[in-house]
Amino acid sequence: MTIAGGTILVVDDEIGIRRILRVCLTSAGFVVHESASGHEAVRAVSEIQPDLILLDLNLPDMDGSKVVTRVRESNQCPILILSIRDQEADKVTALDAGADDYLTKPFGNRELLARIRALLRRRRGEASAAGLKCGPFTIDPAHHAAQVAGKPVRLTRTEYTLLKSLVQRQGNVATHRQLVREVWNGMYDEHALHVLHVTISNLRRKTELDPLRPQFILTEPGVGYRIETGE
Amino acid sequence: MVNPMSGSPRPPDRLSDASFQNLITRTLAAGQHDRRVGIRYLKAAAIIVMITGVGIAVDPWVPPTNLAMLYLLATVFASLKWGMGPALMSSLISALAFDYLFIPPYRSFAVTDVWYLITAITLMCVAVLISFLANEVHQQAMAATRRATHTAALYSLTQSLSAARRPEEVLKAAADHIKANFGCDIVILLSTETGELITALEPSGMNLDGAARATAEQVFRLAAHEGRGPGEGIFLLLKTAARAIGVMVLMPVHSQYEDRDPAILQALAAQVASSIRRARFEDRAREVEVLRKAEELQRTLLNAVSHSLRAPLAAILSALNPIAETSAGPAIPELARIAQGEAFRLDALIGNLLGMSRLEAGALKVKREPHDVQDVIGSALRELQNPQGRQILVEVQPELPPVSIDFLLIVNVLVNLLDNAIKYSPADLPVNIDASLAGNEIELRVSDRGSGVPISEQEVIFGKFARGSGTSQTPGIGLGLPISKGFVEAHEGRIWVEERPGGGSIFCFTLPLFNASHEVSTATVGAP
Repeated sequence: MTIAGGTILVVDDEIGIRRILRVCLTSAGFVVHESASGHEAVRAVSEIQPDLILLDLNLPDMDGSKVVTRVRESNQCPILILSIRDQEADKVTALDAGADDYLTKPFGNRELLARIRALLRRRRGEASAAGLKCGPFTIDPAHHAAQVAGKPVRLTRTEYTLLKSLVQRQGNVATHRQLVREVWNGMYDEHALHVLHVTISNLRRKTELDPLRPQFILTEPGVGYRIETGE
Repeated sequence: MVNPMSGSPRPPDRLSDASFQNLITRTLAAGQHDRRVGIRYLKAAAIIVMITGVGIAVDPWVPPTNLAMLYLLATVFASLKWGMGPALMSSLISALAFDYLFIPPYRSFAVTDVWYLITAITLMCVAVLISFLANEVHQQAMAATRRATHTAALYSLTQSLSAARRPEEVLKAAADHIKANFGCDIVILLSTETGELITALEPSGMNLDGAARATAEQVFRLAAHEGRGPGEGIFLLLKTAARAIGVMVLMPVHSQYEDRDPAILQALAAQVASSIRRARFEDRAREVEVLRKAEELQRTLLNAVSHSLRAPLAAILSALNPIAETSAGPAIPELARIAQGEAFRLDALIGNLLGMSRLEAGALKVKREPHDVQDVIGSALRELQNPQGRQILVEVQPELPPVSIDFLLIVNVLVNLLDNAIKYSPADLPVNIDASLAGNEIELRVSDRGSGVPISEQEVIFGKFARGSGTSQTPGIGLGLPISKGFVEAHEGRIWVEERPGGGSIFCFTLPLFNASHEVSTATVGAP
């Protein structure tokens, strides 16, 4: 098994998607196991102890977020949600239930592999030693300082905490609710959401070349934000 | 049921049991009436003659006082049987006959003994008294019978009406029942939603003439309980608790009638009106049920479309993506890219179809939250399929307040407008987006340098499957505009197209502001 490899459990009732994932993931050096239903998946997780789970939200027998909850009872391996569009509410539920990231079908091979690598890297805690790095951002937790592409940038305390929360996710999505909780430690409501949007907007003004077309801090429509890692 | 009391001076025809017919169409020709009265007087007289005969026969052996008892009996009988007139006549003749034949001096009306005068007066008093009492009892019995018959008839009407489910069936049942029990044909006029009276039911071969119609209109407009027309019809207002719903006209089949009970007619009209109302409610409930089923079907279809069509498409796209991404071999990635582009187009089309179905089914859920307009534009630009890399210039007024929107829906609107702008304008000219505050809304505009939209079509193009008048339809036109319109209007916004100075068109839409200050102010109420 190569260092980039690992065991991935693919949970999807669509055989077409399973086959594509098998081809893509195997050629990238992963060992792939497949499950076609939620119950099968919960059983398979305890049997094979995968390094990562790719979980489709539309399973015939079980709600996707319920599968997440069941898996999380015994296993902390990264879970990447696969879903179609127009399912933002379900995605958010699954993410808040403990899934780590999501990918909208149809997805690109590169994007898929980048997300998987980010999740595995985060799991190994690679970036924690010499400060946090993600995309163009470097966070120095000791000094509450941040750099964009090597240049220091002046941030308010809130902006810094928000950026840190995003960087810690290594390119994986953070839901609105998670960010409000981590940065403001407060109730999630319309007002908190508004404050979050304003802070993101300020952060973009300070770090993006064109805040109208952000390259680094990306909006995940209806879900949250993520940092583009450039992989 | 037999009623022994029959000495009524009122029209004598008795109610046939369980029939309203005689009650309503109590038709008495005047001559017939007189003849019957005459017969009663004759009968009363005949009895006196008979008693007098008997008196003469037994006179030698029986004292005259006992004969007076016989005359008294005859008078009582006459007053019970034929009423006051014949009874009085009977008492008078009795007194005279008794005096003339049995009181000395015989064969003379001279009264020598004043006591016999008392006998005569007593006879007359008894006649009056008994006739009066008998009449009273008879009246009461008749009223009771009438009430019982009315109740029975109304009850059977209720039964036959409640068996009818649909409004037409109610009308038919009412017509049949009223014809059988009341001897009347009916015409029913019902008001439409616009307040116009239209004929809902009329017996074949019968039409309301102009005057009758006018009467019906009048009864309805004035909400009079009842009206008489120029003809013989009775016009009854059909009224439910809330409002008048129409007019029912009773047309007697046999002949004109004089006697009718307003209370019964009112009850009849009320019964018919409430049954029509009930049947209408049932009809509406059925329609709602049908609608609900249709919506359920649509939802099921939505799911089927979203899963059955999109899932394989997602698989195709996911399979094409890695092929298109690899750079090995010049032709294969190019072909794969074409297939990929087309699949994306199909995916967007299905997405729009789904959106349209949701709008139509009323199943669109708008989750409004405060959002930054810049973020909306940025996300739309990321999501837009812009393979040729058309230049898009963005201009956003600084410091715009947040909008209260469903983020995905509005991104979808903007993507649709941008997609149209790119498709229908020259490839070398940029497309512009700009956003600014306009009153208490934010206005977004997407401008292109295309051929523009003729004024006559500026509204039409937002309709579903809109066809340009005269202009040939560009193939592949999607549902983008009607969906955008639906989504924007779900936010209480407006969407329209304007002519762009210097050529092209501007598609504009407005978004509501998020009222943060309101939230804060309500939160701080009561603070010092």
